[in-house]
Amino acid sequence: MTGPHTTNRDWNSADAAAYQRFVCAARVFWSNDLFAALRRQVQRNEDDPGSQAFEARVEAHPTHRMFAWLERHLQRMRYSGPFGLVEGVNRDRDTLLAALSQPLPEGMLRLDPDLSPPGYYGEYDIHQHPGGLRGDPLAGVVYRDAVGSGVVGKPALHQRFAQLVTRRRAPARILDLGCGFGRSAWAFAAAAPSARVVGIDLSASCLTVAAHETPAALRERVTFAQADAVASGLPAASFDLVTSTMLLHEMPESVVRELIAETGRLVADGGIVAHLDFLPPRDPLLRILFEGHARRNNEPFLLQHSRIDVADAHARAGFSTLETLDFAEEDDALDPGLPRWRLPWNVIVATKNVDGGTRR
Amino acid sequence: MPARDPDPPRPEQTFFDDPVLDRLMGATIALAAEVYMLRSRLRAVERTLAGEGREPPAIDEEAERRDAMAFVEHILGPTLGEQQSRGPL
Repeated sequence: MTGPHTTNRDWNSADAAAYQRFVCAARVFWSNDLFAALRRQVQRNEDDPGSQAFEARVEAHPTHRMFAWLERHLQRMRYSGPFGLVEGVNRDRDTLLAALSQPLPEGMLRLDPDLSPPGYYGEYDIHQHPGGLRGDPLAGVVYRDAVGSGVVGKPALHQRFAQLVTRRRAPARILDLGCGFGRSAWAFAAAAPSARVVGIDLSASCLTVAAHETPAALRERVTFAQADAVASGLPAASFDLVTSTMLLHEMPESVVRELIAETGRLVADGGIVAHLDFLPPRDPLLRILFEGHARRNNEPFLLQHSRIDVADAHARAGFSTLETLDFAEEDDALDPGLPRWRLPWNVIVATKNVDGGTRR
Repeated sequence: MPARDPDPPRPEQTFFDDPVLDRLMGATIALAAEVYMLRSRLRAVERTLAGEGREPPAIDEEAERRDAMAFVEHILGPTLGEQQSRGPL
């Protein structure tokens, strides 16, 4: 695709805003109206001898095909093409780069130009973001803009999670793994007003956005560093809380296993690990849609962490009292008859044994 | 011999029995987006004319969102595959 096909900058900007408004409205129609129609039309009945027959019937249903097509292509339109978010950021490239080059408080952002990202990180353009979060110094801005609408973009999601976790224990030292452009780290800093928060991520671009956009009131307590969550080199037992938001499902199963073991090393005795992520829904239709979402949204690892016996893996890493909880990102999210499609949010939370013991 | 592209484009996913339908859907939705953009431009011009050539009043974001939803419901309503009046199956 080439750039916008008009030359007037004001019209370009207005056209792009209108285009994105169209895409967002279509996504609302897709997640509400089309989902509700699909549910009505494929109600499971006694003619289905088993789950495989139900799945085959759903997959072949015309409304499901429309649902799948729109999910795939509305996401493509959001990012790609002359009015997509990537091109929108390109139009303001010089201004944005200048803003992200402004000086930061000493120690607030530590980038590692020698960091070699793991192989799985570059294999797919996750979320259909062309080029992903690698390379382009403005990729983090694109990502921030992309999640700025919809449930994933609502700050309440992060606040709710941070409050749920910090109610269990008031941490003084927090590590946020895969912190992206900072929202989860900021939410934990706000929920634990005396805590120091370190956010780490592989993406230099996201970390740069995070550091520059940290609210002034949090700047003395939040820092960001470029590092791999499974090999950060941070000191053992140096955090009361290690957390992640939407990280596990972006890693292959073997890496999630490494991550659980690493959190056992990083969390101090009596401390907590808490992950906010997705687990496959029990409802057969929702499960089919969730599994399809993995492919349609370029998230090939989405289902892999759900294959892990997380209780056993955490016990081996020195944790006890593991819980998995359904998580409501909005007040009505867990209503059984919710009339819209949603991601199946879950919280995995575990406490480290006080004596530091592990079961191996 | 020219160097081989190390990562050529991957074929797009398909959802219909005939992949041509997938591609035509893409063109149809792209056209719908173009119509919506033209409609937004036209409204901006109308607002300017209504103000006798002066700057148009500020955009009402909520009204724009409502308009986008109504437009999309019109365009995508047929994808639901449900009769709007009760007729024979």
